[in-house]
Amino acid sequence: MTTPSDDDLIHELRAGNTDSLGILVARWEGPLFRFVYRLLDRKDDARDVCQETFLRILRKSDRFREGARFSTWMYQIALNLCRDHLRRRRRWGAIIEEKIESTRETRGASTSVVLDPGAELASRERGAAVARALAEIPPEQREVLVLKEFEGLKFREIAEILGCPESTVKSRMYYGLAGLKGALERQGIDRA
Amino acid sequence: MSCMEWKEILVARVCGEIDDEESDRLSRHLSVCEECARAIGDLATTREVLRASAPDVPAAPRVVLLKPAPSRLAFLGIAAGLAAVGVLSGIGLAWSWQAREELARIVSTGEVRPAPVVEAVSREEMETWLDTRLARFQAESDLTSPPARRQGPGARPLSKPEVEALLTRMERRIDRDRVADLDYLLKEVAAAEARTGLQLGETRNALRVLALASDPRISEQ
Repeated sequence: MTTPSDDDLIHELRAGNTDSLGILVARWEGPLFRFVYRLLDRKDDARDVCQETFLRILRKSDRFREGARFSTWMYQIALNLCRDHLRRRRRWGAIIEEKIESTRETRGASTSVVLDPGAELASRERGAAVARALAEIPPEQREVLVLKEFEGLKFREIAEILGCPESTVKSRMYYGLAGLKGALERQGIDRA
Repeated sequence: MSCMEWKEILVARVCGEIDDEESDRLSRHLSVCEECARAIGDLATTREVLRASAPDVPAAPRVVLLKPAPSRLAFLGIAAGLAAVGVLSGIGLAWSWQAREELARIVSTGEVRPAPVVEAVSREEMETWLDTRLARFQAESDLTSPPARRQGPGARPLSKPEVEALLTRMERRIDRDRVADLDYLLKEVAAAEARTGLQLGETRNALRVLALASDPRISEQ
């Protein structure tokens, strides 16, 4: 028995077979969660966005264009939900950050990681430092870096998801890497 | 071509998505341009650091598809109009029939301004919040005068501008209270995150945690 392709499954879904969505979910929930988590950096928020993404796929399966790739459509939906989430977070985020900072200062904890230049970092600390550096670059550049370096997509596929020309994707990649270099240096990381 | 115009080709080379012809052109340029030679080195190094030190991602939770939530009360402004009708009838003002008709017309024609969608609150929570606000308005409203003052042959019915001004004051008070409540709620979420080490976020889960936290029978553990 051959494994149904994403196209087969989406056709089944459009025909009313909701079981096919279960197969799509099982196949894509991991990659989708990793993608969304890298943009939102919060597990609960990422879970909410993933659930909402699959709900929208279920409700709007009739809008899926023939010949399009399912993963591209899924990433587009998830990306729009992430952007909405980040917009809301930016609107109220200053209040939360202020509260967390004041609470940590009260407890005497440091909020920054002090690194000796050239010191060996534990893998987890290094990953956290890279995450902090990624958070410093503009969202549109971060999206491209995440899709290219962590999801392994081609520039053409990223351009399709973002709805912009390939040249724009490459430009954002260039400036994103340049900005990330500066942010990594501020975290004390200058080589792999 | 200026060096800035080479940036897309530099990125294509670093990411391995460049055709042979373009790659040859770039190689000739790099042999004479120190700036681009340095830039391509920086791009490659940064990319290497990023790929080698990918931030940890927690295990993906199983996606459970729930039924879509019931429609939420999206327009606080309409709720403000309903609240205004509720308050005014609740404190038993003796309005003239003409004033009542004017109020109904203002509410039904949508002159009450809709508020932005509040997405983190369910319908039940919003209705509870509205009941609390109504009770507060009844306690604080300028119109909570003894009914005797408004009754009797000498009582003057409210004019349309007076009704509109009243609704506008109530809307502004509701908006101020709503902003203050949301501000308070988010600060409570932040405090809970700092205290428990959990990342609650602006989700329904955050509201559930807060509801549990307010119950004295339930410990933080």
